[in-house]
Amino acid sequence: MTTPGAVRSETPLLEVTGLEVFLPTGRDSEIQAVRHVDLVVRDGERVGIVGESGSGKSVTGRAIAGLLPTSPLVRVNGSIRFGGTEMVGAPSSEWDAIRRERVGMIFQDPLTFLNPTMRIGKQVAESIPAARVGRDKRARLAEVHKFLGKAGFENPEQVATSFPHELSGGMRQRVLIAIAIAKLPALILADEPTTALDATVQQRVLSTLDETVAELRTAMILISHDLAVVAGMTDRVYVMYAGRIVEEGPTEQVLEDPQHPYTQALLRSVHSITEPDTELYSIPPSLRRELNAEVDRAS
Amino acid sequence: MLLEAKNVSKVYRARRSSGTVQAVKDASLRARPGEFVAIVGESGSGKSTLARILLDLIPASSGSVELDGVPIEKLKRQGRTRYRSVVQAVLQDPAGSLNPRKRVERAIGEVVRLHGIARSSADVRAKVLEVLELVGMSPAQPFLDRYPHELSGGQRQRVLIARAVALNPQIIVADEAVSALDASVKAGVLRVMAELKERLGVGYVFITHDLPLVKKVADYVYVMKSGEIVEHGPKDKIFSAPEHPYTQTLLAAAPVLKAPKKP
Repeated sequence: MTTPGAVRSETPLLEVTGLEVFLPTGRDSEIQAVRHVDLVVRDGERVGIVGESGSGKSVTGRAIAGLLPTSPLVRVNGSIRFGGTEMVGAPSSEWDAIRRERVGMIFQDPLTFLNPTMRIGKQVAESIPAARVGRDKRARLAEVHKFLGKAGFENPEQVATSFPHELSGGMRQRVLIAIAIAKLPALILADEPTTALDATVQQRVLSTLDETVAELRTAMILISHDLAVVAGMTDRVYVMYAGRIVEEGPTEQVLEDPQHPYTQALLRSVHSITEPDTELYSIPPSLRRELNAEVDRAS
Repeated sequence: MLLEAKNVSKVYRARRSSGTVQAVKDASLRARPGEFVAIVGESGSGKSTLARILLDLIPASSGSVELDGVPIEKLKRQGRTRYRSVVQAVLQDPAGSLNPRKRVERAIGEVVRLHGIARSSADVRAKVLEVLELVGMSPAQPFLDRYPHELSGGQRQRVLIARAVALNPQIIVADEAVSALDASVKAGVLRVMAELKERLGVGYVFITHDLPLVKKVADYVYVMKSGEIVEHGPKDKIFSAPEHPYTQTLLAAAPVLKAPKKP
């Protein structure tokens, strides 16, 4: 046992241990989407989660944000602790508080997140804690403009009075960044934030995210299937396959010198598409069978 | 065979104002069997509209699409049917292009029968098995009875390619056909496409925003911006000496994961 004081200084921002998520696939059947995942994020740290579709990376992200469907058929085991507070099994009011105060979220499709009938300014304002600006409307509006400015808008006043449909995809995604950072969260959870965007827009949104996270010293979890996105944005990376973390380490090291056969094969196929003189490589079914067997043995 | 778009334009009426939106402006391009032609551009550049005009799904406002010099609007019924088999489409969303209630055998078999490629059930089945093997779904037998939801994303996309290939096409127009796929699956589908080019001489009009991929597989590249083709040329020239500033921006923006240096 450690003293409470010592615990405080060592307690990571987020600590996930032995996380398991079971999702129903029918009335009497379920699949295990996440298998014994251990994951740690410290204050100000940037962590990537990469994997193919179906690897469990998004389900892990949703579990961390408390956004899995509330159904008795969705089972979550293990532990998710924010600053030492256990959240698995916590009532939804506690999750609401976590999302309101500590975790800002950015998803692939901003339209499902934004209210189509509400002006942007109001949606950003709702994310600013009352404790910070009180009921002073002017102060609140100034904050709204400030965060829209931080999210890369040169004309925050104009954007604030717009509706979501009046903005382009890249602009909407930057509105989500503004909403996510306006609460000054300890952690940003970004799930495929730029997957739906064109390359030039993607670059702009990523550099906006990069700069704001750096300026506010916010920790970040960046979930993506795109290794090139994670490469430039994170310090550490977790590689997921079939619900398990198969490799973890400093991003540069994992991408330069992958240890696990899956990471090696995944990188080989990514490089086979971009390198001119290599044969196109897809992960062979035989390797997938081996990997699946390994995952089954381990669980 | 030569598929050619000649000065094609497409004008839409704007939704609210009385103005118009020009989705494609005076675009010309050529595609041949055995050649991998790419059209690159960002969303809203008009590349998908051009693809739909090439596929004869929507008419051009002006200009023409010609097959061996014959404008498609001049084609009689028989000619149109032939056009619809020699020029095939593979679109982005494999789930949306496959009827969820039809098994793989029926999804492919129907078009085989419709275009008179085979008539008896046994011949149709043989053809379906043949094209599934061609796209690497081997052994093909177990896939015949699968529904689309029982296939992975890469398998669904390969079923669509198999269906296109079943009609002995000379050119496949592929609109963002691999964009949504994971790297490994993407590499697999691209390899299948390259093999069909080598073995059957299939040509492609490949529409995408993914430049690294174009660099890998294309022979000839058209760059579209705001409805116009701003630059075109052999791949090596476009990638080594892009002339239009927009092409340069696109090339600079594409995120590429650097391969580790080999020891």
